Amino acid sequence: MPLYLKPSKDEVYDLINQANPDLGFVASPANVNLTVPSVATVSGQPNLNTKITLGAVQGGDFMGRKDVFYRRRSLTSLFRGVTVQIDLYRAPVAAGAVAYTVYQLLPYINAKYGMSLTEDDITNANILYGSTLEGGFNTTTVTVQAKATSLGYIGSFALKWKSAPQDLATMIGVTELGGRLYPGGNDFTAHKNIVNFMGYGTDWTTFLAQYPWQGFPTSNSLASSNPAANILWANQMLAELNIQYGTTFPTNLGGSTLLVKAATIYTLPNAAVPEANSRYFNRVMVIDILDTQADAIGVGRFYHHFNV
Amino acid sequence: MLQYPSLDSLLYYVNLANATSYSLTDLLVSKPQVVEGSWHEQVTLKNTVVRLSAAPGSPYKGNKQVVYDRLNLANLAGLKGFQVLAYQIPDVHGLIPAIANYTGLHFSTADLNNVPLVDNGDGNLKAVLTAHPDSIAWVGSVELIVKPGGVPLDSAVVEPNLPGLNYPTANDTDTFGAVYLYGYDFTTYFSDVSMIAPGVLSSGNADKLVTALKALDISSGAALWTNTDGATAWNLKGASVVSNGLNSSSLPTNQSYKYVMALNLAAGVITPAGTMYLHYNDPFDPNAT
Repeated sequence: MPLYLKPSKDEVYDLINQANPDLGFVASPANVNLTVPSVATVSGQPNLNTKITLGAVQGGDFMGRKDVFYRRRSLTSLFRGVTVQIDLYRAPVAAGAVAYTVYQLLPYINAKYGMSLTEDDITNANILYGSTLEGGFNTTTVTVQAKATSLGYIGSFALKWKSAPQDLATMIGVTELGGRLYPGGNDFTAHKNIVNFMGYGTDWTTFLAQYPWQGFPTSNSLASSNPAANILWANQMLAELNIQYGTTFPTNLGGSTLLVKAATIYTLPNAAVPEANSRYFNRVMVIDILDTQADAIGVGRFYHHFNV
Repeated sequence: MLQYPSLDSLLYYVNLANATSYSLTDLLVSKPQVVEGSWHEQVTLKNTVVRLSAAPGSPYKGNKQVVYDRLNLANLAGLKGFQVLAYQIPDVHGLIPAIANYTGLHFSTADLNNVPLVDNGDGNLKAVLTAHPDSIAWVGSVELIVKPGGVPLDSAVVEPNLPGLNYPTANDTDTFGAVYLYGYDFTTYFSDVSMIAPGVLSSGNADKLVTALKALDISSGAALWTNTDGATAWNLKGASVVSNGLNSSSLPTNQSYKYVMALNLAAGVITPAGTMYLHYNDPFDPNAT
């Protein structure tokens, strides 16, 4: 359990009950109201520094009122010698902008120092994004003051906020990663052929010079009207297709749509196509084949590497 | 003057009717007698007669009889707000302060017969208030439900000076070791810290902890930790390990750590003071999944 487990209001009810075990009923917010505390001294009781008046909740377990005295802890004493520092990442903002408020850091203060301070105990303050750097991290110190109305605390302490490296644990909220798929998906029970490897290892420089993609490089579509070139193209991609002249080409290799399929040409190396073979080629022509295309030969992406 | 004590109420009406200013010490009041229809051959609707006599030592002499109405308790039945709460009150006379608190009716023990309260069968008690024949102000009887509650705070809170809200040590001028070290994570020094057995620190272990403290501490003692004979501040010489091992929810420690060492500095070391808790976890393994 923390050093101070309970919020100060709960602690005061505990004090009442511990010192007065024979109340008849257990004092709680349901049956006893607490007034705002005031500074007080009690003769012969140097520890006591606070007076509150207990008032009975109307029509309940108690009747009347009673003044009681106890000690509120001094935050100044409690944090004597301690640099109260919260290291918490803050995306940089302009100097003078609000980095955090004291209340935003309160849960971190409680966790780090074993406290149970509430917003009823301390005043809020803006912690501005300053220009003081410590080890490369922005840092700002503010004074946190106990509220006069705090039931548990008096005094104050210096709170030092320091920006810190951003925590992966809070940055990575999505831990189940989707999207790592074969073209056409990872379920191979009814999977089309993946075309990514067809022609990948081929040097297309000569072919594209001899049989340019129609209008290459501006319109980027294969010459559908040139069946000889198409068959050469197909066999160049994968010799084992061994398509002979006279075969009804368009329907068994990518369909008619493929022949007017737009291509994209990248200069290599290129971050958009890190998978391209930039060691041996300085250009690649990429054609995406979607499996939504009913008569496509497969699914995926053709790479036609070439040099210029 | 319904809610005055009986004698005060009678005196008020005597003074009001006669433009007098008698006080309670001026007059003696006889036992009341019932009047029905007439009194001394005069027709009256009043129900009571008493004789007022000059009290010895008062500036008055002689006596006089007056007639007036004693009120019937039965008419209180069912009036909204005529209800009381009381706790562990055995009888009607014990209930009188509670009736005064909740209704302002100031009965005296002379007004009411003292009978025990009875269980009403629903968690409440029932009081039968019956006017004593000699009551100056009341006649008749009424039942009153007494709900549990209404303990007078001024008498029930017998100890108004509440000890507690302590600091980690008895002396609020200390630098509190428990607060001072609470926020630090000694996991980096797992191999040093976890091996230290309870008992007085060996000098070698004290040196190891001094190294760890100097590296981690960002507060006032950061550069000052030492392992030196006789030093009264930030000194681990002679410190003793109270316990070291698995953390426990019964300790005043940070439960986000798996292990904790409780360390008491030597008696002569006053800064910091008390028990310090050194929290640590298993060493982080970047390959563990």
